[in-house]
Amino acid sequence: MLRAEALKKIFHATGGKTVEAVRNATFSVSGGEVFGLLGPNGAGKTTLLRMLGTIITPTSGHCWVDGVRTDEAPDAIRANIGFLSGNTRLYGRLTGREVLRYFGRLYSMPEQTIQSRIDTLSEMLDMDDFLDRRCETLSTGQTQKVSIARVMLHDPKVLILDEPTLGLDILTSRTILEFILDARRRERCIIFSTHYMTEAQLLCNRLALMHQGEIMAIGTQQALCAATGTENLHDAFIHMIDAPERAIP
Amino acid sequence: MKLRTVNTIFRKEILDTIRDKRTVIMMIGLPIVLYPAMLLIGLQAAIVQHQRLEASISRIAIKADAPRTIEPWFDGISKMEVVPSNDPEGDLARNEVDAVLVVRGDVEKILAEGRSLIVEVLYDITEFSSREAVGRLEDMLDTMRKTLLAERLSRSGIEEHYIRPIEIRRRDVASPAKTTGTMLGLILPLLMVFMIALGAFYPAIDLTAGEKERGTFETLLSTPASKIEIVAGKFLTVFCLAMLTGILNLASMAATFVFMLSQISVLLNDTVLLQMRLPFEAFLIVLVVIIPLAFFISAMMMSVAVFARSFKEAQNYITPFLLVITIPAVIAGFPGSRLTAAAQFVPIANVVLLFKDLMKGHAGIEPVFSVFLSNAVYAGLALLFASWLFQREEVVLSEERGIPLSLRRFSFAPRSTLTPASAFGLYATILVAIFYLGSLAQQWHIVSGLLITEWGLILLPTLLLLWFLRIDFKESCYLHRLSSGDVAGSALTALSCLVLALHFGFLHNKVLPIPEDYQQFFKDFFARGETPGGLVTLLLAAALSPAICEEMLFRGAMLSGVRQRLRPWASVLLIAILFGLFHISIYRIVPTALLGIMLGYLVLRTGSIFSGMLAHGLVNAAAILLAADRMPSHLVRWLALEHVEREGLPWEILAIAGIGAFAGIALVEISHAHRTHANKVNPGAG
Repeated sequence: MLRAEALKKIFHATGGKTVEAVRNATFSVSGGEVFGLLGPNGAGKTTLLRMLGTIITPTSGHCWVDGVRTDEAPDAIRANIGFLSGNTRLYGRLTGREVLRYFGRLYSMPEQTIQSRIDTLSEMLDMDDFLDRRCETLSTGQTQKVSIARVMLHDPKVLILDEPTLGLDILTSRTILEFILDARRRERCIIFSTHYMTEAQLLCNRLALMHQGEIMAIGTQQALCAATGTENLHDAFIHMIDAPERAIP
Repeated sequence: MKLRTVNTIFRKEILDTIRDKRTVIMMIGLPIVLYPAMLLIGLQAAIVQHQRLEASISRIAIKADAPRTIEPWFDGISKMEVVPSNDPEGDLARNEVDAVLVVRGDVEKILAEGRSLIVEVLYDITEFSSREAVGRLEDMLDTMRKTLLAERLSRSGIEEHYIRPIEIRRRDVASPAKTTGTMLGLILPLLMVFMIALGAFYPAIDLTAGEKERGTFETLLSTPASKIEIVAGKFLTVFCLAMLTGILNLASMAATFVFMLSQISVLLNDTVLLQMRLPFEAFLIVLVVIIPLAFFISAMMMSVAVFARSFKEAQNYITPFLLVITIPAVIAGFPGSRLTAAAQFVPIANVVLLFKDLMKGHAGIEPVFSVFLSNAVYAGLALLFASWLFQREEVVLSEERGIPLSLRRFSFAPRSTLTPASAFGLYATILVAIFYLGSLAQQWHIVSGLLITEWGLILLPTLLLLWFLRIDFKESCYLHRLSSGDVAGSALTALSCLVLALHFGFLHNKVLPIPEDYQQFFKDFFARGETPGGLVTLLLAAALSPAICEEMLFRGAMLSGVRQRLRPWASVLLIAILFGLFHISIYRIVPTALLGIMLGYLVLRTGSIFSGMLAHGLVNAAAILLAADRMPSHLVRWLALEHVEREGLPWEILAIAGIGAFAGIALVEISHAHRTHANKVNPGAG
C-alpha cells in the first residue's frame, strides 16, 4: 500500500552547509497494518512523514502509494492520504463544521457525502457541542478531534499521523487511539510517530527506530527486543540509541 | 487547474478575511467613515474659522505726522476700527493691533499738488487676523485711490479710458469639468494607488505569512489542491479585496468631494466653483485601467509577503515596498509631468499619468490601451513570479528568516529545459529591457546599438537564466549537429520563402501601407551597405547577430520550454506570434511571425537550432543585399525583383519559389524520416 525506497532529504543551512535530515529510509507498510515510528526529537521523523505525505519532495529516492509513484501525480495521490502533524492546524476564524466542509470540497467530495460524513464523524468523536464554534475558541482536545475528523473525512487508504496524541488528556487520547484501531480493522494503512511507548505497544504491528536521520531497525516489538537483548521496547530503544556511543573506547 | 478548487479556496479565503476585524476596518471602515469624516470635520472647522474671521473687527493703528487727517478715511467703513497707539510696531508685534497704516508727509498738501502719497501697510503674515486686516485695508485704499483718480481726471478734463489704452480681460476657456479634473488629477491618482496598495496589504499578508504563522499552510498542502490552484485562489482573493478597497475609496472620495464643493461654493458664493462637475466617464475608464494595476500590486505583495514567517515580519517587508510603489506615483503626480510614449510603460506611473489626462478630459483610446496592456504584462510577470515562489517548498514551509538559502543556485535541480512559465518570464523581461535600453542604445548609434541589443540584451540574459536555473544548454537550445540533408533543405526552404515573403510584403503593404518616414528610416539604414565596410558591419549586425541571438532565445530556450506543455504545432505558432510581437512594430508583426513559423518548423523537425540560425541568417542577409542594392544584377533581373515593391512578382517566379519551398521541406522531412528510422533500428545511435 505504501512503500518508501531510499528516501533522502537534505536541507541547506547557513554557510553552504547541508544537513541530512533523513538518509536512506526504505520500508513498506501494507493495508491493515499500523507502522510506528519511534525516535528522539530531531531524529527526522517529521521530515520522513512529510515526504510520505508529499508535503515536501525528497532530495532522492521515491515513495509509492497504492502502486503509484508519488512524484508522478502528487496532487492526485493526496486524495488517498490523510496527513496530520503538529503543523497541520485549523483555520481559527472558521467553525469546525466550516473547516470540515472546506476540506471536503478540496477533496472534491460531493456536498451530500460531505454532509453525511461530518454527521457520522461528529457522532463518533462526540463533537456536536463544539462543531459550530470557531476553532480559535476550542480546547486542545477539541481541536485535535476536529483535526482527526479532517484527516478521516475522505476516508483515505493511507493515514500519516505525526504524534497525534501529543499533549492530550487520557480520555481524548483513548478516543483517538480507538479511532486508529478502527481504521486498522478497516484495512487502512497507518503510519504514525509517537513518543509514548505504551501507545506504540498497543497499536503497532511493526516499528521503526529512528535516530539522527537514519532508520536503525525495523521489526515487530518482539523482534526488536530480541535483537537488543532487552525486556521491553523502552529499553530496546535506549539500547539502540546508546549503542554507537558505547562502541567508542 | 480545477476551477472548482480555485473557487472553493477563493470563497473560503473571502469568508476568512471578512471575519478578521482588522482587515474589515482597514478595507471598509476607513474609506466609508474615516475619510469623509476627516474631510468634513476639516471643512467645518475651516468654515467656522472663516465665519469668525469675517465677523471680527480689524484693529488698525495709524502712524502718521497728523493721524487726524487720516482717521476720516475710516468713516462709514465697517469691520475696521482705528485704535490709538503710541507704539504701533510694538502693538502689532504684541498682537494688540492687526495692522498698521503708515503715511508719510503732509497728506493734504501732497494730494493737492497732484503727487503720489506713499502709504505703507505693516502686518504679520503669520496671523490670520492680520492678513484679513491687510485685505480690508487694501480694499479701502483701493476705493479711495479710484475716487481720487476720478476727481483728478475730471479736474483735468480727461476721459477715464484715456489713461487705459489697453484693457486686459482674462477669460478661462477650460470647461468646468476640466478645471475640476485638473485639480483632482493632482491628488486623486496618488491616493488611488495608495488605497489599492493598502487594500491589498492586509489580505496579501494574512493569506501568506499569516497562514504560515498560524500553521495552516501544511494542512492545505496535504489536500489534492495543487499549488497553482492555491495561488490562484489566494491571488483572486487579494485582487478582489484590493479592487473593492480601491472602488470604495474612489466612490467615497468622489462623494465627499461633491459634497465639499457644494458647501464651499455656497459659502463663498462662487459661481465658478458651483459649475464644477466631476468628469464622470473618466471615473469609469479609471476603473478599467485600475484592474491590471490592482493585479500587479496584489501579485507583487503576495510574492514579498510569502517570504516572511509571520504577520509582523511580512509587514516589515511590505512597508518599504509600499514606499517604492508610491515613488513613481508621486513623481507622476507632479504638475507638468506628462504621459509620454516611454512613460506609458513605467508601471504605476503610467496609471497616475493616464488618470491625470483622463481627469482633464483629454486622453485618446491609444494611451488607455497601451497603459492597460503594459500593466497587464507586468501583472502577468508578477503573478508568474508569485506562483513560482509558491511552488517552492522552501519558501512556503520555510522557517528561515528572509530569502531562503534554497533560492540560491546550488539548490535548483538540474533540468533539461525551461518551464513554460520561466520562458514567458524571460521573454517579458527581455522585451522590457529592449524597450528601454535597446532603443536608447540604438538612438545613440544604430549599428552598435543593434549589436548591444542582440548580444547583450537577448543572448546574455538567455544564457544567464539557463545557467542560473541549471538548465541543460544542449537540450534546451537544440544544440545538435545538423546533417547535410538538413543543411540543404533548410537553405532551400529559407531562400524560397524569402522570395514568397517579398511578394507577401507587396500584398501586406496594400492592406497596411508602411508610413513614409518608417520606410525612409529603413532606406537610410540599408544605405550603409553601399560601401564594402558598411556592408560587412550591416551583415554582422542585422543578419549574423539576430540569426544567433534571436534563435537561441526563440527557437532555443523558449521553444523547448513551451514544448513541455504544448503540441509541436501549437508551440511553433505561439513562439512565432511572440517573435512577431517582439519587433514592436505593427508593420512587422505578420511578416516576422510567418518567418517565425518557418524557423520553428525547421528547428523542431531537424532537432537542431543550427537549421534555424542558417535560415534566419540567409533570409536576413539576402534581404540586406537586396535593400542595399548589392545583389548580382542578373539574378535580380531574372527573379524580376526590381519592381517587387510596386508590382509584386510574376506568377512563374512565385511558382518556382513555391516548388523550391516544397522541395526544401521535403528534404527536411526525408532526412527526419531517415533519422527516426535509424533510431528505431539502432536506438543507441540517436
